[in-house]
Amino acid sequence: MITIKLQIILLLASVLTFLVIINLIRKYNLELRYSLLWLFFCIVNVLLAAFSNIAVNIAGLLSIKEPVNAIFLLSFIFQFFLIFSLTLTISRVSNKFTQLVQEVGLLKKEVEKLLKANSVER
Amino acid sequence: MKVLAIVPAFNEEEGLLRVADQFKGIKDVDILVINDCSKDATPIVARELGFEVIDLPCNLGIGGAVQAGYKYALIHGYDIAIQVDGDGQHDPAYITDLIEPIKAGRADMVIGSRYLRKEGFQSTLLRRVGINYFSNLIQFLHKKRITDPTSGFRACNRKVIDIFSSRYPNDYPEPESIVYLLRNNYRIEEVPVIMKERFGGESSIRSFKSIYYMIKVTLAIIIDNMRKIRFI
Repeated sequence: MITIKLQIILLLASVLTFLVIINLIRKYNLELRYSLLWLFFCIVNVLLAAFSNIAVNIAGLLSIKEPVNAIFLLSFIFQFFLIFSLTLTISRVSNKFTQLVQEVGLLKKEVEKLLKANSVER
Repeated sequence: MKVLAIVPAFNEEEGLLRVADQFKGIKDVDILVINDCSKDATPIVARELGFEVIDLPCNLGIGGAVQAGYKYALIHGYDIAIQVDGDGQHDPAYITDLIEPIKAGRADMVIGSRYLRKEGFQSTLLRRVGINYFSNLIQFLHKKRITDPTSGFRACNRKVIDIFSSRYPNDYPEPESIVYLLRNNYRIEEVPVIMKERFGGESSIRSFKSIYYMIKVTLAIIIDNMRKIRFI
């Protein structure tokens, strides 16, 4: 069984996280696109905390003795997804970054050429 | 035909002096140095030597630097682009040999190989074993013998310049770029060259990184093989 105390802590923590994320998005500190996964997990967490029989059922399904361990397993999986989505984002960003750096290099070259041509004219 | 020599350089102020020396007497080739955010006097030396220079604002590594060169070649309408290392190990005297199959229309990319005639600096035993392994892996997957898949001394035509501008691997790009050209049925030819031992600078492949290198490039080659034809 999950104790009431744990349920309350879980519930408070996930509701608080949810509100902090919403507030950060509101203040334009966080990009909604990258926080969707977080919001989704917060909601799942709230459900898990509020309805303890979900955790009990999952534990039974996976032959895990204690429902609280099922919650640990689930949070592990969530974290895995979150970290993986970060790796994916980093790969994309680094690709774009490479292209930008090359573009800046090429532009600097053209500017240098133009400036030189300009000074010769004068 | 407009020919561009792309010289990627990261902290190669001494190597560039050698490159400039070797390029004396080589005509009809424009030289473009890609300064990959060097911390020494590379950009100053390169300009004093009269090379065209692109200064990258951040260090991209060999793949990103060379790709910047291919983009330049594409924008400025070069027919042939040749990669030449900035440390003086590639002798530009071979450029005529290197571009001949492209001019004749026999090949889309030509690789300068140390192992066709087995002359000159042959690299260390361990590296030869590694290179031979990649050579076998490529032959197994693509039925084409490339004796020196890690050679950075290569020439390519307009079509390949176009492809490399849009996609080029980041680190250790040579074998991977070969396999994706082969996958898309481009013609690759090798010509024998003699390479020197490197002077100054540092090879991008150091001993403690060699295991990472072997695994990464093997995976890159195998995963590339899972991609579809015409999927660059």
